[in-house]
Amino acid sequence: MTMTKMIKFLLVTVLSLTILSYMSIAKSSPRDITGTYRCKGHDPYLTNPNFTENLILKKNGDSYKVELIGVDNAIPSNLGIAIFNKNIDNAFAFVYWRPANPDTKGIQFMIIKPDGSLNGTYANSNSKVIGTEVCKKI
Amino acid sequence: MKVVIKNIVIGLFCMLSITSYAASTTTPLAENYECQRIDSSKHSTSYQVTIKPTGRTYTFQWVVEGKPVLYGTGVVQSDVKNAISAIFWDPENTDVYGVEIFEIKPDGSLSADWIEKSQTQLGSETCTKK
Repeated sequence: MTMTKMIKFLLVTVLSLTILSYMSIAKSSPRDITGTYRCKGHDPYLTNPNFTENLILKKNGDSYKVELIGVDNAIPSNLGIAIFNKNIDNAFAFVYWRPANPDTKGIQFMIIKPDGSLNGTYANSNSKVIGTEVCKKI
Repeated sequence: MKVVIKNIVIGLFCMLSITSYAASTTTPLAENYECQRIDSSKHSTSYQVTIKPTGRTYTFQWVVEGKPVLYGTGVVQSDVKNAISAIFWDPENTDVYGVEIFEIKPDGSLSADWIEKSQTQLGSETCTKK
């Protein structure tokens, strides 16, 4: 390869890398998180803090309906609405509320791992402590 | 010619280093912001928003003419360095609450999407540091 061709090759490489880098930070569509997940968590508000539950997410226009159901229960303990930020596609958040106790509501922030599993951090409104939860799609 | 190639390689290395450094740093949250909040009907309202760390969470207040009209509790994720999510609620109306996710821009400004519990369309909010 002559020197001129080598320089041209390097310049094209640099230009291509620049374009690829721009494209990777441009807005991308959020992933579809619809489905049922089995979750294990640690709740600072419970006497026995370790728990297992199912998380059900159903797309509803720009948001998702959320249900949190204990594995031995038929009725959701918590309901919620989840959304993405248009500029962040690897995390979403949902507000949750407890139908049996309407004063209990909070926020949960979930990271979507590359394998589709979810890592969550949550807190009740006005709380200074957080709970954690890890969910895998079933 | 060898000098030209060496300069291109050095330039490429510097570009990649700067890009990866920028991606790994975190822009810290400020305490006071001027915000424009747009609801799903495209109605815009100006607020002063304060965000303060409170233990493992953050406390939000949306203030109009010195009076808080919305409160919030926020949480972050260590693996998502450029975002914070919050529940917000109306202290005057217990049926009005929702979820908001703020992107923290490199310049410290905030860009958020939000939805109220009873709604189906998103609102948005942009904030600049005071």
